Amino acid sequence: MSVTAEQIPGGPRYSGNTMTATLMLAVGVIGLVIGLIAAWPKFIHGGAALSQGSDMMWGLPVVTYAFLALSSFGVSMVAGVGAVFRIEGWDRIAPRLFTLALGLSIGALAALALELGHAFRTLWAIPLNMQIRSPMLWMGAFWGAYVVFLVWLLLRLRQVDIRDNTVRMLSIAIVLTCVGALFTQGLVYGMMVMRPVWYGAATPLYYWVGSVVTGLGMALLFLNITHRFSHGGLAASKRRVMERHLPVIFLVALVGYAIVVVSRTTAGLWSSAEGVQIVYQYMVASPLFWFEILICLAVPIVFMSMAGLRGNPLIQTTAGALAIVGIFIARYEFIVGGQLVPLWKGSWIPALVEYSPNSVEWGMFLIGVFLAITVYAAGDRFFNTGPHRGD
Amino acid sequence: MPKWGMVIDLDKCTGCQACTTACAMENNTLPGESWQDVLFYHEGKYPNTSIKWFPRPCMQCENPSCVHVCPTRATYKTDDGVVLIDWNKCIGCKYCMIACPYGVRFYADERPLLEPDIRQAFPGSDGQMWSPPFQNPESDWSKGIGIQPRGVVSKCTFCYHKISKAPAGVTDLDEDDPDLVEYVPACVRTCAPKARYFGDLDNPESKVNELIANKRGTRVFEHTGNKPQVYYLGEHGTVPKFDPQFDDQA
Repeated sequence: MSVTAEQIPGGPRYSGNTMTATLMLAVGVIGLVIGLIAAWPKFIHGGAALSQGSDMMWGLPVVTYAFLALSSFGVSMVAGVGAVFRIEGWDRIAPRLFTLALGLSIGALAALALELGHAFRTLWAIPLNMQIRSPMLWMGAFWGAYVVFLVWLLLRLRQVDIRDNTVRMLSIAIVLTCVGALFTQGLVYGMMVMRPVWYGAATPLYYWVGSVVTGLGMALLFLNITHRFSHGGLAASKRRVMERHLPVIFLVALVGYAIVVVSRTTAGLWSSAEGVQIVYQYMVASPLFWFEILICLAVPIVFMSMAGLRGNPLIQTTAGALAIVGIFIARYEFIVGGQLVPLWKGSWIPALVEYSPNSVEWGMFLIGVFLAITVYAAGDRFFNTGPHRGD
Repeated sequence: MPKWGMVIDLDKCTGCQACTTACAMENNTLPGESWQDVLFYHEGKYPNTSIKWFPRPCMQCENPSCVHVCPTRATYKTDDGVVLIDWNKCIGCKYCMIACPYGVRFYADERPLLEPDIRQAFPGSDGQMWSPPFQNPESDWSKGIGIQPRGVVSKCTFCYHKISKAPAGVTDLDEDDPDLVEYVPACVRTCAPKARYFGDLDNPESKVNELIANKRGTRVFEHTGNKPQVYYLGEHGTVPKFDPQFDDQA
């Protein structure tokens, strides 16, 4: 069913923030160029330009890819709730969030492609050889289908309303495939019995909880920036979602995530599995960990707990940004922490593996992040032409 | 079809690293890319200290986690029990390195493990990561034999270019047998104290099975379920507990 903009329920049309989108696009492109300059040695020297190596196989580039991918899945789950259940007002924010999810996935794919030894070979080597026992294969399959559904949905939204039946079916497909990709990505780590920091059936659930927090944080951050930190011009139903529903759900997700983090840390600190306790002691001794807990997790919880504050766009933006930074630190600690214990290296590596990302790896990080911002802003600036224009 | 396996007698091993050197010469590995290595461990505290060593090739596991996780099947197990890598299919994701409990896989497209970087002295040609003037003429990228291209993972092949040509029906590849010496893996052939044995684990008459049975051969990291095809004999047959020395690191 095709409808015109005037037929959309939910109040008057909101004039598009073209200037904001243009500014975000400029920031995205500038960041992308800086990232490309920093990462340039990777294109010349290959893996030799990176700080990671045979002792720390998956460093910052993989952390970036995992973080952006999980953020994309989280954002899609948030958007999917509105689109699938047709919650008034919530469905109005879904198109923009689906665009953000696509941008985050493209950023993740870019970071992954830069990290792989032979990125283009994956296009034929994985589908033609089908190692069905590998969680990585299933993650790729779910993720590939998810991106296809996302693109299809965004193209469709240029002609029809969010309440179109095909859009709803596509939203359901997006939610299902992103949950599949999320859990299989958790399994990539959770199935590794030889890496006790990662191993366990709870790892995919840990990923899921973190992904929901990132999705909600990203939604609040990007929507508030797009609306120039003001909810004044929003339709009543959409304003209700922004000021009541999303912050409360964000609070619940943050508390749930905090419980998971405390459980994991406590279990890790008292674990008798070889290497686990040492890694958790190492992590807890780091200022980064306490920044993550006290600033990036506790502060957003406090903000979102206060009824008078949680609807404020600036508070929402701050809480969202802090939570996103916290989840990024958590991804870093998880992925790098799982490799800190050297596997059978003898006295050549007498302690934990040492790793700190170099400028090239940070450049790859910038490429992934700013590519996501660029795609989102470009979508808002140039392709926001359907019935939801300006929503 | 044999199922090739190795037995290493730790009571005879002197930690001389001849096996490491022979492997590097045979397979043209880079410095630090030690497909075969002898790991040293320090145990105890002064004055009650001891040093232990542990020769460590690829375990060529019966149930190899590296094979299971490889999304492109670039890592595979042959019918005669050897885990190989097809460098034409490897995408360099390094998931196999993550999944290997024994740390025997290498991604040589990284910063040089040892300086100076020999790759700069002998720049690669014909797709090779580096091209030293003297190379093993045997090269088969579909089996991970030879000098690898950039962006792929490499590992010990049990000298597959040798053992795969052994006469059919042979139970043990013994370097003392003049008829078989050319088929013996480089590390086994060069071992001066004869601490290494190589043979068919599926043949109950083989020397390797006799040693495993009579001397209580053990496998390491059994909890991972990988079931190595490399067995160890002797009192050193366990890997020391990981005990990080933070003070030294600082």
